[in-house]
Amino acid sequence: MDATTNDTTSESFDLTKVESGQSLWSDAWRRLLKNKLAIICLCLLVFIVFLCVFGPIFVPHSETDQNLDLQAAPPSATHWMGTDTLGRDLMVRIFTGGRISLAVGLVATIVALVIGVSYGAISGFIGGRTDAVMMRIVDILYALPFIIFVVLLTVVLDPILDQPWKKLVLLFAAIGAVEWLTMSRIVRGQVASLKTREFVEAARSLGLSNSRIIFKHLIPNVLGPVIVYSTLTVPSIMLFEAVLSFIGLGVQPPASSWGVLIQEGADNMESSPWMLFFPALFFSATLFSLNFLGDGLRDALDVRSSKD
Amino acid sequence: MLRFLAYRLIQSAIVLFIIVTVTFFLVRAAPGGPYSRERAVSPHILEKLEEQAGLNKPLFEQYTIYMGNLLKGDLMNSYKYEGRRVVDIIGDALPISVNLGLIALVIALGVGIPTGVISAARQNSWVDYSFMSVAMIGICLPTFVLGPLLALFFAINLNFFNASGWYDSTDWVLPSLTLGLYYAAYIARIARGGMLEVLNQDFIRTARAKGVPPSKVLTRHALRGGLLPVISYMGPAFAALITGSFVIEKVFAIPGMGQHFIDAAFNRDFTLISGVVIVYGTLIVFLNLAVDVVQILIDPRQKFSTK
Amino acid sequence: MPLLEVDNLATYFHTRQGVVKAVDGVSFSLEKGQTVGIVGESGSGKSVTCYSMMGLIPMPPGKIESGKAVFDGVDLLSLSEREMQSIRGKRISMIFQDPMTSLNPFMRIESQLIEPLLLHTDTNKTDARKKALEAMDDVGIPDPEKRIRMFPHEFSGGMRQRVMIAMALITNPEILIADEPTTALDVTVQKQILDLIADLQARLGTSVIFITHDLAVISQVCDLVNVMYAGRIVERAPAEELFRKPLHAYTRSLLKSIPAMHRKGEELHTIPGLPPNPAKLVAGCTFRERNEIGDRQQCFTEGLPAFEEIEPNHWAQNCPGCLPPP
Repeated sequence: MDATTNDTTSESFDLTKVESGQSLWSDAWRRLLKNKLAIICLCLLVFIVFLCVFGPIFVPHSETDQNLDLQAAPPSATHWMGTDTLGRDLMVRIFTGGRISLAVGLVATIVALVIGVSYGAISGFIGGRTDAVMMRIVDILYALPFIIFVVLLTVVLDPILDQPWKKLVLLFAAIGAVEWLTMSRIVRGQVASLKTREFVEAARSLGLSNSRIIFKHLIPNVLGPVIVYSTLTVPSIMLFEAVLSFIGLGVQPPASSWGVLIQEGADNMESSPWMLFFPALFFSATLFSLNFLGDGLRDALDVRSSKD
Repeated sequence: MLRFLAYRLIQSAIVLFIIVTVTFFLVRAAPGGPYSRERAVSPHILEKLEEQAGLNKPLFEQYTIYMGNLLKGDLMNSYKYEGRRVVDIIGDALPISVNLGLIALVIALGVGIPTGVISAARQNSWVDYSFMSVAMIGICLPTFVLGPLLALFFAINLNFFNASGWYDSTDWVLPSLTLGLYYAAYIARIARGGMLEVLNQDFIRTARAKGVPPSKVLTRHALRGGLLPVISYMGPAFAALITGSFVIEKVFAIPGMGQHFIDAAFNRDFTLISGVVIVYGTLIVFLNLAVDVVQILIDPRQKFSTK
Repeated sequence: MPLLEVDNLATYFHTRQGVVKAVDGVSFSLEKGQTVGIVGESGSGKSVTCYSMMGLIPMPPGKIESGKAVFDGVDLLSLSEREMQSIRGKRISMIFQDPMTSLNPFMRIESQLIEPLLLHTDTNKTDARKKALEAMDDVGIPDPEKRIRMFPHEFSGGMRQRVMIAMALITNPEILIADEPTTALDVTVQKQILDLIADLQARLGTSVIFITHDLAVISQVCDLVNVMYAGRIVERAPAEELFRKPLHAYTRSLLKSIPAMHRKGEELHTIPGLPPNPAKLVAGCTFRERNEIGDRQQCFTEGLPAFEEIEPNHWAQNCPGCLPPP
């Protein structure tokens, strides 16, 4: 039925599409501002990030302080979100744990982004047989249960990684190395369709090298979809990290992440349900706002929802 | 079609071979072996033990021995559970995991598809909005949050079920519900998207112009194409179900494949790790092949091509 | 009494950008066995007019604000969805612009062809199949026995449009609405399809509403032509009369922009600007801003020019700037 509405309004749409790149972004921004849910999610996200980064400064407890009189105490005036079984303030632990969860999400997304965009761009740009083989590999990798390899890696490298931060770095790299597949597919599709367009021909006729065309001309044009799917990759990576931490293979105590805290909470939920509730609330709220923000961005930037 | 199957089977075999090889060397590349975690063992006994197990041989020789046994269908003995064959250990655990996974899959499809289709048919109505909000909440409530919550409420507060274990016939309810509902949320979103895309196509307008009633437009004309994205999601979904079952088996203390895998990885139980990976790999590879075949059968525009 | 009489039809789309007056007061009628053309640029509202009659406008955002479409004594616009279903595909059928996308790619030709029969008549499957084979033969599809088992993607564009026509006419409808049926086809195939429609119409006595932006097509098939611009009919005349002596400036511009009507080397006329945005229509004569052929200074700046019979059986919007000087 869309055809009938398009019939009447296509002219006005066409007009907006010819306009320059600058107004494309401001257009998208305006559309995003109109999407109340996405804006609420953006604010919520900024708020959570702010709490995690600066929150611990304002809480009069540190994450290692143990109050042995108040073990597994319910929320109170001194401990707003209660304490854990060792008498540590839960709120400050959630904030510092959040730093790690968010950092893993962000850094691993960047890793996934770099791998996915380069792989997809190269595949789409070269085309032909190479493209077919490269995408077939992605298809195969898609179906593999990568958690198995990540588990193996973390376990295998555990004795070598004596320092907690090394372990975190491994987490970043392992998760990022797994989550690049969707990104590479999307970028490949965009590049493959863009490369036949005129401005690439023009660049080629000017004698620019292939790598220069890819990085100077093509990548800026696939930015929209990349931004959208990055936003959607962050929550799926945070989920991955939480799963690993939950089954005891991710972030190790004394360091904590939301996954670790949720696991501790699940162990104690009968006696101290707040230990499950608060970390889960923060975690779910973050996933929720990232997902809706991603959806909003997709609408605003007018990215096709199709997956292939 | 036969050509296609043969081609894909060969491809699957190569993929499996690579998986097994990578796993084998990855595990052995790590410091420590199956016996080194037991502190009580003296270096001398450790050496003896490793000699018995053939762990002192050159790595490549170990590899050829293992592959030779694998071709005979023997996954060798577990290092940790002395005297037990890996095949037997997996034989005990696999049915539990498959049972859990299958019920979860049925729930995921049975809840997810109708929800998505109804949402699409009533796009932008309150039904659509509420279904999709619930689905989004579902996606943001991962299994390790939903599982404990369900256990807390139905098992501990209401005492309907056991909170953990896998003995009673009702023990599968909470775990498979947790796992199934999470993927139901995903599938609902995918089904809705697929249906909306099809419902906006010209041939749906043709059907309406023919006087086909709305319910039949949905079922006869739109459903097949609309559910194609769901079917192509089934490939990754199988892999994801395994990930999910790792968590579920921990939350509900179920003695399935996931628990064995994690324990084996911690224990450096080389043969058990490889065995579990081989089983997972085979399952995934063949389920994916099945998904591809179904997809081609449903969509007449696709062909069994070997490109 | 005409078979179909559309009176003052108005369909608006209520979008976030404002109210789009896609169709704004359209009246025309169709006699039995007649072919009436509706011609205009894309976005002029010609398709929306027909979709409104058929109840195929997505609502919301669409809304039929006023008007009647009386078919055989019944106002189609007042019927319920269920009552419309028994008319669509049985008494009024449609064929569409793009045969590539208008057939269901997941269903065999057979099930799509017999669907109208199974829905609207008591025919059983065997008889329906027999009729479908006949229909395929009628529209000139070779080897129907084999072809009927195929899927749409195994057909060429022209063949698919033949299937669409067979499907639309299989229930012997009284009206066929052809929405740009040849636009997406090759020129050689266009001619075949037009001949086919004309041939079947003569044999079955079907009335046809022919929607197109292509005046050349109109001249081949239509008895009476309605020229639409910005949601309104600006001129109506028998086809020959219209081509011989177009009155409205818009029609004259359109005719001047047909390449076939030009001598070699002569500059081709283009209508300046774009069709007006139906969400932001100006008051007065809607063609004012693009009127280069007539005298735009004399166009109405407020109030609508009346649609009047300027010459015998030749109607046009009576706007002094758009009509040629007497």
